[in-house]
Amino acid sequence: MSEDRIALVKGEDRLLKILEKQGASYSQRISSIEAWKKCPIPSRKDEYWKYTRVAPLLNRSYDVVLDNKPFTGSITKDEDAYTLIFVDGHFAPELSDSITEKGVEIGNLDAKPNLGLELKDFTNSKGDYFTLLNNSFYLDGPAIKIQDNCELTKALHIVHVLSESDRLLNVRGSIELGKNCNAKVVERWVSQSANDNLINTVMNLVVGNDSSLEFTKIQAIGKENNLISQEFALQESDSILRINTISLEGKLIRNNCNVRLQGMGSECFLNGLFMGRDNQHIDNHTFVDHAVPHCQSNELYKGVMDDHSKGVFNGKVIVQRDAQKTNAFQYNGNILLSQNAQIYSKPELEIYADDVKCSHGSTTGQLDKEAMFYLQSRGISAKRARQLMVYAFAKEVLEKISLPAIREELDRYLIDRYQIVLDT
Amino acid sequence: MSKKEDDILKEVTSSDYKYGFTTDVESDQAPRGLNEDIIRFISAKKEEPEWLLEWRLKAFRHWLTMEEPTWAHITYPKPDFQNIIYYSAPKKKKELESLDEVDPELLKTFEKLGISLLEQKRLTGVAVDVVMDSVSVKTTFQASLAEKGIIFCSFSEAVQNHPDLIQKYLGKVVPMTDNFYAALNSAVFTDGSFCYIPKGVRCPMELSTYFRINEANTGQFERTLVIAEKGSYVSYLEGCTAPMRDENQLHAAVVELIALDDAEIKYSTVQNWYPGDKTGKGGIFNFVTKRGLCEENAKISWTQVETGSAVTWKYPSCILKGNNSTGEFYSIAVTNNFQQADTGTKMQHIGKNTKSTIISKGISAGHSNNAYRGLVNIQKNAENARNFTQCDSLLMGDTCGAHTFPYIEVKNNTAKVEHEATTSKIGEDQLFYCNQRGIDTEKAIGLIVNGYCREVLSQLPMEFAVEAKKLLEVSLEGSVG
Amino acid sequence: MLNIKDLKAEIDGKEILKGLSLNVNPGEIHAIMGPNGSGKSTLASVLAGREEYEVTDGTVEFLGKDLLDMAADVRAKEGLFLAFQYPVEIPGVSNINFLRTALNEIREYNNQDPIDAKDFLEMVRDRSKLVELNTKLANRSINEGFSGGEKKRNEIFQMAMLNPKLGILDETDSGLDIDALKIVASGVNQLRSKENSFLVITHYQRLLNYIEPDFVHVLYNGQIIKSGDKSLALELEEKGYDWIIKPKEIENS
Repeated sequence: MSEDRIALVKGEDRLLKILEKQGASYSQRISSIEAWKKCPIPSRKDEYWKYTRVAPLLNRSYDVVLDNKPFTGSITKDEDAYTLIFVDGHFAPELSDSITEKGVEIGNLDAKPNLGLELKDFTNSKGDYFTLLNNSFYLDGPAIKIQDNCELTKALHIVHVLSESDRLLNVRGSIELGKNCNAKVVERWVSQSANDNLINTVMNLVVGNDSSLEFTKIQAIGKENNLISQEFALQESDSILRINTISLEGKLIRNNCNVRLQGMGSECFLNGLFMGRDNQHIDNHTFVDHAVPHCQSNELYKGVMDDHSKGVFNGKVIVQRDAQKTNAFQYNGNILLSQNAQIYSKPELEIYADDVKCSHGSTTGQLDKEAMFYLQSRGISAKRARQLMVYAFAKEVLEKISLPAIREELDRYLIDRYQIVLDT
Repeated sequence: MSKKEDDILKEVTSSDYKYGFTTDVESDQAPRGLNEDIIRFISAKKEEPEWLLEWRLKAFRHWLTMEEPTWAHITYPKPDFQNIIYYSAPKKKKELESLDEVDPELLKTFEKLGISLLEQKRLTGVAVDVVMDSVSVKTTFQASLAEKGIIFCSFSEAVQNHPDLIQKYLGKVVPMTDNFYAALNSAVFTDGSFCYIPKGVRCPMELSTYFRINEANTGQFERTLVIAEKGSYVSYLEGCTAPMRDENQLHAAVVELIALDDAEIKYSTVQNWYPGDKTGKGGIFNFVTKRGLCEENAKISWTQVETGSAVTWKYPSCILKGNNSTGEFYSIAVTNNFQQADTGTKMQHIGKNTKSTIISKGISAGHSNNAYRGLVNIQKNAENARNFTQCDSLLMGDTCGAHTFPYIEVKNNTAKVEHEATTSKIGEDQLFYCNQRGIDTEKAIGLIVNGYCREVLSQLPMEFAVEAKKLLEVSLEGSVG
Repeated sequence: MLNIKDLKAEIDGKEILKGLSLNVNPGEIHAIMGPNGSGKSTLASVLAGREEYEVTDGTVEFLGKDLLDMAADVRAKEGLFLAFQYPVEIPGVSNINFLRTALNEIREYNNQDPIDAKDFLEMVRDRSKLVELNTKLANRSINEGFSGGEKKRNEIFQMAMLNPKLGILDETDSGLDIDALKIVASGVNQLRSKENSFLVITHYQRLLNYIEPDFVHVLYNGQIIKSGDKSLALELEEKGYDWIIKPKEIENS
């Protein structure tokens, strides 16, 4: 088996020789590689991968490339935000903004390895195939560190450009907020006729006391690319974390969003919107670990599946023994637009403290027939009514995003995608 | 948590199992261990036809290739399957003609269980089959049921008297290869109940089976088969107890229900196997496979009150094959001390317009863990399928766990599936309100717990509901959250 | 009947009652009035035995026994009834089942046999008329889905069923329209006798138009700062609290 597996990374030996020059972190890489090679390819027998088949992505080989050709395309930037651009996983300083804000250090991991955070130990990540793979071969990624009482005054956009095909990109990033900080970060993808890439990202997030971080992922990675996207987030006392995961386009997208509430009074909001069509497969796993008392978690995930697409939501909340006065709310709503679309929903609660308020709800169905009829009775065609209803259903998630520019952009996307004519 | 509640919490751990007596009845046993000879021994003892022996052996051979499932949220020492006695029957001196001839010790046992075969049930019109250590002891009311063409007897009798029915339906809903414990049961089952309701007949009384494990070192592997012919109706009750013993005993039963077109089966269980002592020593490992098949317009309703067993692994399920069929699952699962339960249901929606309802109420106290695990699967052709699921957990004390693992799979876009889950504890303000009306904390908890379980309790036949309520109070004696 | 001496109580370390004294004799109705935050509801909670409140000083005697020494349910069994300002909902537990349990617990405490089911139902029918409570509500879960007025009437109905020696009405008039108020008041008046007493805690004078008190006390800053007869309530209605509070504050400073 391991023979096949080495083939995943073309020219692995050559690659390792170059990486060896990195020094200290190399030994960690080697032990990760050993563990990764022993780790079986996730199959549907694993509860964690019950509804998502990744074997076809892993039974082939990819290029892992250390340097980029100079990038010649053009990227539109948001004027009101800072932008960092990565091309095929590598930082492109010439395209990126240079950011000078008090107490803010922003760069890329390859250039500033000291900004990288050690991967936090989550039960969900222990021995996980993709985490090990990322540990083994990550090369670059965004690194943000904000000192106590400082903030990013503009939103930071991390734009990943995909310009090549058949590559394995192991992106490793980190966002670390000290005490009383504030930052809004957007991660997005631009595919320029790139195909069959496997992107494997790991983001480490640390939110210090009284800090607030909003991390929004807009996943339109191109129809023929695959993405495994993971966050490992730690929250200190009275911190607020918002992670918005908007999955719009990709062949296979898997999100593992892990949050540990380890400081009292901390609160997280995990919002997700996933819209599948064609043969897309979108899988959202969330894991919220209530480790201390007086924390709150809120999850809102909505799926709209069309054509032959498949959607998965698996939300797991653990309330540990001492985490009294926990509030944990989780809701997953899904709409199936076509006869061949499928949805798998698994909202889980694991609770070891008694003084808690936890609830989850999951609904799956068609659009509300009564509402459809009402719209039609007012002269709106069935098709238009359907589009309006989907728009309204999805919009609830978009409204959770605090950045107006992003919200408007996504709003336009929805209107476009469902060809809605709105009176203004 | 206040001091007083702490004290009461402590008390909980000292409440004793009230059904923990053994009965001195001479019994007839197989040697310890499991191999093909033991299976032949069981089959020979039961004077079974050749095909059934072959069926058992096939199951056994398949079982040897299987591994114990590990996905449930339970931990327990793996049973030593070679250290179990697979056949233990109360020794019969001769064929019994009437209840008067039943061993008086046995009758006393049943009195203690609260089932008086002699009068109580006769008055209330419940037909009872009693299975003790895997062997059916006596079935009451056989004759009056026979008038309507209803067959209600021990599984062994059915094998002798109605082999065609057994051969036709055995393993039809739960195949011998279904899972580890179902395969084991298929190989070694010793008795159980059999029930057949002819076409269009409404069974005039509740049918009831009491199971009891009595002998030490025995496993109980009974098998129940209920067949409701087209347009028929039956309400079936099942109760279980076991004596207190320090070692863990294994109970691996299989229940198969078949509801043909327009038939309805209501299956109620009050499970009170010995849960082990307050330190978690002893108790029954309860690994049960229960499944029903619904044909067109048929309905199967499972109601269970689970208070016993050290470990429970049980998912009464419905295969909604026929169009317009209905499946229901109402469950109360109570765990205390070191009990562990992983229980729930599977609703397989295959036919069009199929409906299912799941109401699950979990209560955890002490150091126990209580998990709901359920699957709602709307298959591709299940047009207009509907499911509503509600699972609530109540925690008492901060050393127990309550877990919810629902699996929702929807492959048809006309389906409507709703799932809700909540977790709570008994509110201090609710307790104070009761206290202020003169009700002490202990009684108040009983009231509130019974109220919390009301939707499930109301599904039970009256007489069973009373027993279940008492059982809830006994199981949670003194607990407070 | 009830003898409170220099009662001090706190919650979460904050002192609310700061030396309150009050004497209630059998057959008397005492009204406790006062502005928001003066400690009215705290007094009710402390008397009923809510555990969040800690009594730091003083004594309370109830029918010659030390009330503070009793658990909440024992106080109820001794004949103390609190009509809650915010009655609690208990899902799944029917009113009727709840009341029968309560009544029998109290009877058992007084060495009486449990009440016969028929007599009990008779009593429910009879007493629910007192507050014009639809008997259908008796079969519903406690306070679940009740309107505000129904909840308050249900409290008085329960009081009628349990027949306490001392009834404490904690802002029973709040959230009631005038018709509901009249019904509640008439219920209380019918329960009035030479043997039992009431402590009526209220914000407004209007309830006292229908339940005539023998004494009116003004509670302010954890103490009773003025007592009088029912005319005091009318005076308060007219002039507000300031004319009593202001001089007190000057005195304190």
